[in-house]
Formats: sequence, C-alpha cells, structure tokens
Amino acid sequence: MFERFETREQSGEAPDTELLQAALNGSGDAISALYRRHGSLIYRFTLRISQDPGIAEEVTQEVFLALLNQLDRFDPARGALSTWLCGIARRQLLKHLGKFEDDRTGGGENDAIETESLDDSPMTMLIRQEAVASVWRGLNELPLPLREVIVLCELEEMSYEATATVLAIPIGTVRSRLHRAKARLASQLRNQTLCVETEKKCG
Amino acid sequence: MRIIPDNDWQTLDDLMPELRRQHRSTDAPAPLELVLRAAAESKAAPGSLAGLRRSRNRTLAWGMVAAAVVLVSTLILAGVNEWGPHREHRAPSGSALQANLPSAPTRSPEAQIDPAILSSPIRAASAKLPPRRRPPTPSSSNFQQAWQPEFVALPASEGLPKATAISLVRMRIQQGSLQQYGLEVPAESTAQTLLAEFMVGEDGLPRAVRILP
Repeated sequence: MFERFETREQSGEAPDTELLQAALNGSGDAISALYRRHGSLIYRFTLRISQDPGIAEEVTQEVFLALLNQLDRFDPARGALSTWLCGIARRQLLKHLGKFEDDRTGGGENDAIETESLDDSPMTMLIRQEAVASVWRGLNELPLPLREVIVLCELEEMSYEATATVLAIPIGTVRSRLHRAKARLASQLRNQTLCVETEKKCG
Repeated sequence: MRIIPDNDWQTLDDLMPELRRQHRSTDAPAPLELVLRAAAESKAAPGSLAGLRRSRNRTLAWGMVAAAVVLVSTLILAGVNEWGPHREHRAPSGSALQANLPSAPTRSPEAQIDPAILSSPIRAASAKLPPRRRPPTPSSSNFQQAWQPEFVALPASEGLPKATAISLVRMRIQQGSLQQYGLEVPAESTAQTLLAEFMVGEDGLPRAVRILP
C-alpha cells in the first residue's frame, strides 16, 4: 500500500490559519496563496467526479467563496483545511450532479493520454499506455461512491481518516469501498488483457 | 504473449503512480484566482465572516435605492408630483374659512389656502408656485375609490429636506391615520382600512402616498 500523508509538505510557507485570517482581512495575496495551495486538489477532485470541466470550475469557485463566507465553521482541530474544502466541494458537487445529471457525458480522460516510461521499448510503452487508458476508463465508469474513494485515497493519497471525514462515512466503509473499487479496476485490466490477446490472435 | 501480468492487483498498483502523475498534472484554472482575489479585496469590513454576502446585500440595497430614485425622477418628469399641498384646506376647527369654501371638486389651490398659513415663509413660497393638480377630494363614504393610483405629496412632508433615497413601504392602515399626514378623510370613513404605499425618505419620514386598489 502506498505511503499516505495527512498534509502536504509546506515547509517555509505560511500556515493555512494565518492565510485565512489575512484573507478575511481583505488580503488578495492570502486568498491567492490558499487557492494555489488547495485549488488544484479541489478542481481535480471535482473534475474527476463530475467529468465536466465547467462544473469542476464552478464548484471550485463556490468552494473558495464559501471559504471566505463561512470560515467560522472551519475547526482546525477536526481536520486539515484541505479536508474541509473537499467536504464542501463534495456537497456542492452532488448538488450540481443532481441538477445536471442528464447533461453529463463521460470519458473526459479517455481522449488523449500521454504516458512516460523508463523503458525505451515502444511495445512496452504502448502496452503501458493501453493499460493506463483502460484504468482511466474503468475509473470513469465506476459508481460515484467508489470513484470518489479511489480519487481521494489513491490519486490524492489522502488518509483513510481524512477521506472518511470528506465523505462523511466510517473509516471501515472507506476501506471496503476502496477494495471494491480496486477490484473493479483490476477486473477492467483483466478484460483489457483478454481483448489485446484476442486481437493479437486474430491479427 | 501475456500482455498484463496474472496478478491484476499488482498491475494496478504498478500503474497507480502513472495514474497519479497524470491526475496531478491538472491544475486549477488560473482565472479563478483573480476572481477570488477580487472577492477577498472587496470585503468591506475587515475580519468579517460574511463580507461577501453583505457585499451582495449592499449591492442589492443600492440597486433598490437607485430604482426608487429612478421611479421618483420619472414621476417628477411626468409631472405626477405637481399636485399642490393639501394642508391648506385643513383649516383650524371652527374656522369660518372652511365653512365658506366651495365644494371640493371645484376648489382651486389658491382658494384653499388659509391666510394665516400663507403668512408663514414656507407657505408663502408655496403660494407662488403655479396652480397644481390635486386628487379629487373624497366627498363620499367610498374614500378609497376616490383616489387615483398616482403618488400624492403629503402636506405634512412640506418643509422636510429633500430626500436623496426613497423606499417604498406598503401597509394596510385605517383611513383616519391619513389625517396625521395632512390629508382629509371623511368622518364616516375613518374606521375603514385601505392599502397604501408610502414613499419614505432616508430619514424615515414619508414624502408621498398612493392608495392601492
């Protein structure tokens, strides 16, 4: 299992609490710093779940405006700011998904995927690209509860505890959902293997 | 040839760093940073927790004030508020002037002015103004229907400083309450209620009223 970090390395940078207070006092630099620090996490999370850049951008803006308006609800003792922001993003996202569910289209990551490999073999690179693309497809097809767990735990390397806080579910549920999600992705890879083998035999 | 190892779980774990790298190559949209910076800097009260919400409310309030000013300006341009003051025909009790006045529909503004009131500087200045239209005087028990739906300047508001911001206040009141603003109300109608809309200045004092159907 990958090593997990509760917070990112932020040595030499102002703590979130100081930036928050400065932002409340009208500091544009402070809110910019907070956005640069946490904005990508929120945007990636919402983009991966919604698969719609427009919704992801809108939700990200709503999250940071909520940060300015509802900072009194943030309790540093209960978790990191990134966890709190992800929780807001998830709630806002669910509203949007409920509103625009019929308009959503999937497969945002399936179009062009570039991979890098230390192996110079073109065949190996191609195989790896196919495998990565297959996992992305499988991830995008996962049910929402499984997708958000694998995005937070695996792609963002968020701890189980923080993920449970964001999703408002017990840690045990996080583990079980993560297991099911990875099982599905592994199954997706297995199917990909069979397809490739079939094509090679037929070709 | 076996493309993917038998252990699919291990393969997935092997691919995960690549997936993570691709995932994290996505950055938040840069234009949002400018939006948030502007939002933070526009916070009026430092340390406020709901500055943006208040800012939106402030904008809405100023918008309403601006709309009210536009409405008043439109009324002024349309000459609706050119009606004369009405306090003059509220002569003191027992005054012979009131008894000698002609019937309400035929009275002219000049004829309604009490000489005693005319002696005051404010009233004298008003008396120099050109004749003004005024709403029909309620002479029947159907007071509400006698009024037109335009705003009427309240006699009691004369002498007040010019309002720079107007708010509209709609309320249901007894007709007798209009007397305190200098309007005449038939005695038999004072207990009846009607729906009135007041133009209220920023000082909280009403400037004009109209009766709604």
